[in-house]
Formats: sequence, structure tokens, C-alpha cells
Amino acid sequence: MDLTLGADDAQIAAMAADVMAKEAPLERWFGPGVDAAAHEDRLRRLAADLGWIGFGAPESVGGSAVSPVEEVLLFREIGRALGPVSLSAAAVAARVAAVDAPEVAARIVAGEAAVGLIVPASGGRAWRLGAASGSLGLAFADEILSLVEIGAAETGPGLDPTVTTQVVSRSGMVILAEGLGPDEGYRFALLVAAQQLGMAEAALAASVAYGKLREQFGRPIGSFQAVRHRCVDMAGRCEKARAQLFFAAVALRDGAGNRGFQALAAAKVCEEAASRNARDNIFLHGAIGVTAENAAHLFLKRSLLWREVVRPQVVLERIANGAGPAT
Amino acid sequence: MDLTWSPEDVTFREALRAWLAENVPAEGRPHDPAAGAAFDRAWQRVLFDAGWAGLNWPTDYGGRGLSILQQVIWYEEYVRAGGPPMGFRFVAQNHAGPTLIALGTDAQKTAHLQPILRGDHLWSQGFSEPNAGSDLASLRTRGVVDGDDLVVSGQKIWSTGADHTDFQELLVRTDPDSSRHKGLTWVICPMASKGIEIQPIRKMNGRAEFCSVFYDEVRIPLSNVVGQVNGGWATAMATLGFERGTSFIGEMAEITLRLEDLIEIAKVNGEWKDDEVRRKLADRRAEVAALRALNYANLSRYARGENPGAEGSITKLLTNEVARSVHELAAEIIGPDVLDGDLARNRWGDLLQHGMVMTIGGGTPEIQREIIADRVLDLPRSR
Repeated sequence: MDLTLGADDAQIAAMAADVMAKEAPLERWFGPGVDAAAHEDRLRRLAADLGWIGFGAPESVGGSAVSPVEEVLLFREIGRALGPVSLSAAAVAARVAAVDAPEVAARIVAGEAAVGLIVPASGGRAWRLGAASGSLGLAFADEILSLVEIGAAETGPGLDPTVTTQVVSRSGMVILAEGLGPDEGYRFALLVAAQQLGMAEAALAASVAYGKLREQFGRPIGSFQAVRHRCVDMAGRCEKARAQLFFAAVALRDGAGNRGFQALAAAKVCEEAASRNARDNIFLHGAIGVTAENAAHLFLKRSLLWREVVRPQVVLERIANGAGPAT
Repeated sequence: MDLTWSPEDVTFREALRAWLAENVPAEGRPHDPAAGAAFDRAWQRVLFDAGWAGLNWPTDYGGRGLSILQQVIWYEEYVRAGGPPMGFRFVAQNHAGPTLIALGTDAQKTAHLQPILRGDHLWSQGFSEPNAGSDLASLRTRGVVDGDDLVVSGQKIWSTGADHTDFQELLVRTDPDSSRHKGLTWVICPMASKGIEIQPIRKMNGRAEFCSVFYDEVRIPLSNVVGQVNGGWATAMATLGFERGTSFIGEMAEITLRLEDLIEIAKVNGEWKDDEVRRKLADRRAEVAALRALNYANLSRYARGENPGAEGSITKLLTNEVARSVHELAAEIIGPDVLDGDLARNRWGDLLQHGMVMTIGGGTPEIQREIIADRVLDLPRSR
């Protein structure tokens, strides 16, 4: 029993954090001419060059076949920097397609084909999120994942300016490959949870930094208990989310009997950390927090996006009806 | 990272489980304080005779010297087997004993350690005062050096079991010109000393477990001082590291079991069919799992030699929160039965109150948040 990060684990996390800090600073979303599609394309190719998209994919399609533990460490850093949502879609799609559509999987791993997240919308429509080019999407329902080819797409304004958004017809989608079992679904849930954890931690860091910087009544606002205690609650959510995410990733790697429960629990606490910390971060920034000049609203919008991808109500029903925590 | 237990740990768990199955008393710890104290002495003697006393004490002092992970296994198995709560054994086993081991004189160790392990001596704590609660360092109970004695006058409060314990770990101000953490002294106070008057205080659950203790020129030999005269704060702080690491494991194991009990109750009484109730129960399952993972993550670091720090306050805050959220949900699910005062029929009303007591014990949530804001988040000081 040991839940400390090993040296190799820490190295993966540090390397990913360095790359994201250099190539994808949050400043990229400010200033004139922000182009989400261009950032998605650039960062997808960079991620492919670094071996990130195929990190967990089989070697037969050009991947490195690492375990979910290493993969969540990578995606936590991607989430912290509000990196492209298509990277996690592509990482999972490459695994899903590796057997039935290996050529497609290899193109995904190489960064040649972008994979959007398919999220059902009202009126027989669906959103394709995070991939402006190509026609691939990752669709999911409970534990079934599928790689699909979309039909006609209409580019629309999305709520989240950092994520390209297309509207497609659900009936126009063709399934290219399907997931191989519930573990693939758990793995996808953990990659989403890892990004949510990174977001929750980034929101906490932003609030603490602002609490030290911003002065009112002649004191840094971080010396007021109302501010301090809200920051502490944000930190508590991060602590729970991080511990559960790592625990669940190890359980999935090792094929533990309760890995499904652990993954769903991670999905729940990481979602809550991302959503609630995003909101608290806005409040703690005051008026600047509700402007487009601060990143706080981007964490709010990304948290809304992920909440539609791994929905808490669905996760809770699955926890309620599953076997529970017993090993 | 690794979730598997070593073969030695598995063997330890099996032996422990077998022993507990044979030896955990069928009748629980009595709620009456006097009967509870007698029970505590007898049960500690059983543990001592079987070689289970002093789990975290070094073997040199008669303890088991268990690794931190084996202590985790102990607490998990103990709770699973329905082992009696620490009761009035807590201060002697988890505070006073470790403090004497760290800083006591040879004479103090000889006089106290073995009797503590055997259950012959129960201890209470004399730290808080009516005007020194969250702000412990403002305490004012006086200790005056007079010849070979320390003469103590003042009042302590929230001293659990003081009227049924043999000794007290007593923190007094020995330098009248000092302020805050300086000028305090940690002394072993025999509760049979002349000049001590004890008044029980009933907790919200009706049990007189708390006490006010009044000291009127109580003479305590200077040889009972642990650490230095005027160095009592360092002595008090030295104690805490012993228990911080594993102190929440038993509570977590307890909550995990109670939550699954509650799910069974909801399935029987029909509340499970309510979407909102069912999802709240599922949410608590996720929360409890995360707290357990957090405990394991912390303990893994301590097992590698890292010292427990202020993150213990985070664990305490979150553990209290999740426990209370389970108790509140239980009250919602059992409905009017929560009003039943018969403990045999309704344990949840008692657990709900216990959760409140645990939340305040060891520092209020607000004080924990202040500690975390200062020492973990490094925010500007509020005071």
C-alpha cells in the first residue's frame, strides 16, 4: 500500500506542466484575435509529436500503452491549462478504434485526424466540441464509447470561447468502432476527472494569488477570514479529488474488483471540485472575475462543458445501483 | 503507486481479525461515565494481556511498535469487528504515554508507562479554560514554584472523564509575566491531590463526560513536570505528532460501515425509491471513498518518513463534514424515528450529536480553516 507518486510519475507530471506552461499559457485567451480552432490544431499536433495522444494507446497503432495512472497525470496538466478538450477524446478514441479501425486509430495518434466530443443536444442534434477540422467524434452513453463519423456540420457559436463548437445531426452519424467494455468507459471518465482536478487546482491557485495581491480596507483581502475560509474549502475539494483520482487510477490499472466504483467516485468528486472552485474563484475576484479580461469565466464554462460530458446525475445513479465500495 | 498489502500485512490482518472475533465483548461500552471508566480499565487489561497494547509505542516501552500501515489495519479491523470506543483510555494511550516516552524522565516513565498500558491508570486532559478555548495560549491557571512543589490555582474545563481518571496532563502558566506560548509548564497532576474539586458537565447527549476542574493551591511535586518549567508549550506540541497520522482512520472506517447500514435501511423503508435520497446516498459513498483515499495518501507519505503537518487539519475538517452529512441524511431517511430517545432502537440521533461533539473536539472548524489558511495556503495572516 503506497499512494505516493513515484519518481517516474513525478517526472511525467513535471514535463507535462512545463510544456503546457510554455505552449498553452492562459494568456493565449486574452487580447485581439483569439482563435480557438488555431490553438486546437497547433496543440493537437504538438501533443501528437510528444506522444501524448497515443500515450495510453496500443503500440500497434503507434501508442505507448501506458497505464491510466500515467495518463491521468498528463491530463491533469492539460486540464490545468484549459488545453484542448479534443486531446482526451482522441486519446480514448485511439484505444477504442485500435482493433476494429486500426488505420483510423493510427491517424488519430499521429495527430492527423482530430476527434471532437459528441454531446447529445436537444431536437435530435448533437454538439461536436473541440475539433473544427475533420469529421471524427467520440460519443458515449454510460459505459459505451464509440468512434463516429459525423455528417453535415454547422459551425455555431459555443458558450465556451476556448472550444470550437459544431452542430451535427445525431441520425447522420456512422459508428466506426465501439468500446471494448466498461473499463474503457471508466478510463475516459478518469481522463475527464483528471482535467477537472487540474482546473480545480488552477482556480484555487488563482484565488490564493489574488488574495495576496489585491488590497481593500488597507489589507490584502486574503487576510480576511471570509476570503481565507472560502479558499480553504476550495483546497479541501482539491485534496479529496486528487486522492480519489489517483486511487481510482491505480485500481483501474490493477484490475481491482471495485475499480468501477472507484472511478465513478472520482468522477463525482472531481466534477464537484471543478464546478464549485470555478464559481468560488469568480466570487473571490469580485468585479474583475466577471469580466472577459480574467480567466475565471473560462473555468466556469469548461466546468459546464465537462458536466455535460460526464453527468453527475448519471454517475450517482450508477454508484447507487452498483456494488459500492467493498473490494 | 500501489494498493496491494504486503504478505506480512495480510498475515497481520488475518491474525488480528481472528483475535478480535474471539475477544471483542458482546456488550458495548456503558454510557454511564463510572461504569464506562471501569469498562475501559478492564478492556485495556484484556488488550495488554493479549499483546495488543501500545500499538504505536516503541517496543522498548512495552508497546507493539507497529508500522503506520499496520496501525491502519488495526483500526480498520477493530471497527469492522465492532470494537469498543477509546472512551476514557484516549488521553493516556494517545497523548500522555507518547509524551512521557518523548520527554519524560526515567522515574516518570517507570511510574506511568506500564500502568497506562495495563489499564491501571486512566488520564484526562487539563488544557482548555473558560477563557482559553480556541485561543489556548491565553490560558491563565497559575503554577507557582514553592520549594519542591508547583502550587496550582485556577480552573480547567472540557476535561473528559476527569472525575473518573487517575492523572491529568495539566498545562499551567508558571511565569506570571509571560504571554502566549511562553511561560507555560506541562505537569502530571494526580487527581487525588488535595484542593481539587470536580464538577461534571452534561453534554448535549445527556452524558456527564465533560468536567470543570477547580484547583485551589494544589501542591504537585516539581518532579512531575514533563519537559522544562516554562517550556510546556513545546511539551504539548510534542504529543500531537503521535496521533495525527492515524487518528482519523477509525472514524473513516466507522462512517463507511454506517453509510452502508443506512443504504440498507433506505432500501427497506422505501426512501431508496426517491431519486433525491438515492443520489444523496450515492454522493456520500463517493465522498467517503475520497476521504479514505486521502487518508491513505497521507499515511503513505508518513510511512515514507514525512512528518504529519497542518494537512491533518484538512483531514479533520473534511472527516467531520462527511460524518455530519451522513448523520443528517440518516435523520432525513429514518424520519420521525429520529425522535426516539431509546438508543437500542435509534442510534442515529446519538450519532448525530456525537458528530457535533467530534467537530468541536480538537478545534472548531473555523480554527481548522485558520490553521490551513496560514500553514497550507500561506495566505496573509488574519490576526
